[in-house]
Amino acid sequence: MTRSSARHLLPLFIACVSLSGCAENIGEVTLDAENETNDEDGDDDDKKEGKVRHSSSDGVTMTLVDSTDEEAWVYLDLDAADEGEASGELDEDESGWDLGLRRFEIKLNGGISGDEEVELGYSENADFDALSEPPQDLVWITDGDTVDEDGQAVLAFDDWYDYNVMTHTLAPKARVYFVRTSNAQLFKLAIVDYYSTAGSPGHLAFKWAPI
Amino acid sequence: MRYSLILGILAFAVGEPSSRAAPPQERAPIRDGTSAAGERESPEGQVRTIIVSTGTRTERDAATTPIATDVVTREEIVNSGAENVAEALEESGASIQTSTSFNGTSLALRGLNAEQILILIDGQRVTGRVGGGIDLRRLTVENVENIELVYGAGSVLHGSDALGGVVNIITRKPDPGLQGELHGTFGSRMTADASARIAGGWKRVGLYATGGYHRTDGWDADRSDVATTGDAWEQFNVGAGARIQPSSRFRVDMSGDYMQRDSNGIDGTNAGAILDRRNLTETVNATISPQWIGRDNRLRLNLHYNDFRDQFRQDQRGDVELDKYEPTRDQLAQLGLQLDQSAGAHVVTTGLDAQLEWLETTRILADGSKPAADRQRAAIFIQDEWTPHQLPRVVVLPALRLDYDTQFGLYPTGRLALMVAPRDDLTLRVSYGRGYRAPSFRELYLAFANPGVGYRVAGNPNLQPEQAWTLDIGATWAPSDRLSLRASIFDNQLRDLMTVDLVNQSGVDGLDTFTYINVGAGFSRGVETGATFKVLPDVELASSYTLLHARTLDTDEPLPGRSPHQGTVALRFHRPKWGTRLTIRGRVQGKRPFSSADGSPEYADPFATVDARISQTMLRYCTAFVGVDNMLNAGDSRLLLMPPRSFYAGITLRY
Repeated sequence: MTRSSARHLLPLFIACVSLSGCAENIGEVTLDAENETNDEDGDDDDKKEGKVRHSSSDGVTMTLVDSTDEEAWVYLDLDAADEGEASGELDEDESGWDLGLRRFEIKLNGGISGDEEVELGYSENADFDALSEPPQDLVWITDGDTVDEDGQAVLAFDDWYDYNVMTHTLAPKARVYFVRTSNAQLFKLAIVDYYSTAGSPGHLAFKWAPI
Repeated sequence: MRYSLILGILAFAVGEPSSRAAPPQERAPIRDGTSAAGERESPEGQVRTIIVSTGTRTERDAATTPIATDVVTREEIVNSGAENVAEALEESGASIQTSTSFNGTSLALRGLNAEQILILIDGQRVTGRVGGGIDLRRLTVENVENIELVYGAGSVLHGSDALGGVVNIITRKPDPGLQGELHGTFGSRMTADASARIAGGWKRVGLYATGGYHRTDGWDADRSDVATTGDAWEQFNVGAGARIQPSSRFRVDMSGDYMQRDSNGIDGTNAGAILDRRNLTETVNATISPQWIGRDNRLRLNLHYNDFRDQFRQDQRGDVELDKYEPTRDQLAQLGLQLDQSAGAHVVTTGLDAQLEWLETTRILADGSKPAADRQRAAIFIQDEWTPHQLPRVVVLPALRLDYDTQFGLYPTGRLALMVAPRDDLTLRVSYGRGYRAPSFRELYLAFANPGVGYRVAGNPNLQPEQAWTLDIGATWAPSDRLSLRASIFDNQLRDLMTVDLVNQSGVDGLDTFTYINVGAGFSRGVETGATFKVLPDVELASSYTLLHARTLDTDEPLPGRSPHQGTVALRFHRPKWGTRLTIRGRVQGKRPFSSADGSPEYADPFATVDARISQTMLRYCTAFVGVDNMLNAGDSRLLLMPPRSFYAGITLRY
């Protein structure tokens, strides 16, 4: 009886162990391509052409930038974009860019980031639509003009967001920025969002207008 | 089982009838394997004896074991309607707290969290910690005999992770004769549980086989968004085991099981992303345990293999940016050799434990590049159960253990326990010992980056274990067959706790780097009291109360998620002549602190749950039952993830 039982039990144990890993591989599930576009307006062609898209209404331009790349910056020439003939997106080696964007970082073409003296100032809790000129006491800064608590030089756009440590999300501060571009034009600018409509980070949205 | 009570200024507490103090034994014996952990029926009218093994690694009467041990018995599990270990503990009067997340339901004891609690099955470590804890919902109860709980540091016998306590799930063994059991339950949210067990025991051989199928639709406590609160899941499990005993001096126990669980839920992020989440989890266990039983000694060998596989898939709706597929495989091989030697007033237990663990997961990066890690552990231990005096019974229990871990080297632990039973109805226990928790693979090698908001969390290969020194003083008093009282005070001093801290701001890739460091310290102390009172021959009242004071030393904040006040009450009616059982249970937890965005504690509201169940046994082999869980519909979608009010009915056929 004992030997017989042992003989029959051994295959049972082998069967138990061999069951491990018999479940389906759910990593090979094909995603539904129709539902996986990140295009805000459903126009795939726009997305393929570049990482910057604009839409205008009542003299205010809303710009969406795909800054999801963790290494490459997206360079934007606000002057060219304002003329409406191009998106304003430039290559890294082109001159005339005003803003560089990478994930949540925004740099200016001035100070420690560039040579074209782009600078900004900002007003806290201001009404974007009501502002038609910078305040008299506006402080103009560019990248590297300010330092953090450790004395390290920081970007002028360093603290455009509030970080929620519980949800690990970024929310734009209620600021209106004034940007003096490489062509010495003046724009007002407010950051609207950092997330796409699908909730993905690295999709900076900001509205801006010449003043 | 420990039940405690404090009602206002009155504290009267009684143990469960199953944990009522039995008369002290004449001497601590070396039991043979046939008296392995389980419940033993005594002659009619006498107190039953429950055998436990977690506190001493030797089989002892729960009422007189030197280390206080709570037991949730098979009878209590069945009568509670629990289908898994999480439910069995929640439905018991034990001083526990459970918390549910998408990682499952995990356990906290005396203010210490899930990763500081060791979960065993038949003394063998369970692997597959996700988010730090073992998901107790995946451990079904159809083959569970008892669940033993030992509070406080237990590393001296069980090694790492036994910092705040040990939960040992004891499986059912085939009794003599043929036994069969069919069980089916159907309830709210299409929840279905079906299980079967067949077992047979003869003189030389005992065999059993079990199988179960469980499913539920899950739930949503917040209908304002797409996200769900409780996962829908489906699970099946099969298992088999054998006892082979060629002679009275030698026996071999073998067991094996397989479980597969498929969970699905929908998460919503604060940034507006909707994520379809799926976990497909499998576990395999295989154990062979031969033992040789002599007149004054016993030698046991345990060989155990545990394989945990989990596939985590996250599919973002409308984008692929947050899509993830993370397979994890955690394998653990354990070898244990233990000799129990009786010599006069001493029972000396010596042993050797060895473990090999392999982890493969994309969540870690060992040695800078490998998504896999391994570790080996070896330990020797010795314990002397010295009974210098029989009447009154006095037991002194010193124990020492030395662990070697390939991650951090040697680690010694020790414990000294004393039990005195000055009268038959009174037992006093004191123990003081050290426990530790080795850094997990996640804490050693985690590689998590969130470039979207500019930070990464990296593991720290130089971490040292967390440690706790535990003092436990308790008393059990059963002045009559109708009343028993129990109380204990405890103090856990926690050191070298692993916490996450910023170590490199704006590193080479522009990300702030956080890592784990051993700087945390804290304490957890409190009082547990309990009472059981047989109001009428068929009516019993049981209640418990726990007062907990747990804070961190560095920030002087309360440990999150722990209620300072917790109580249970149960009213049971059982008339054997009618075959009728009625149970109404309540559990109350006071406000619980949580960390808030500004660092100050935020408090979740107190809550109460009430469950009721009635069962009727008919035609000797058949029991039908109906019940309702969470009658008050407690729970929310944020801080108290608890299934809403649920109704169920079912039937059990038992031969």
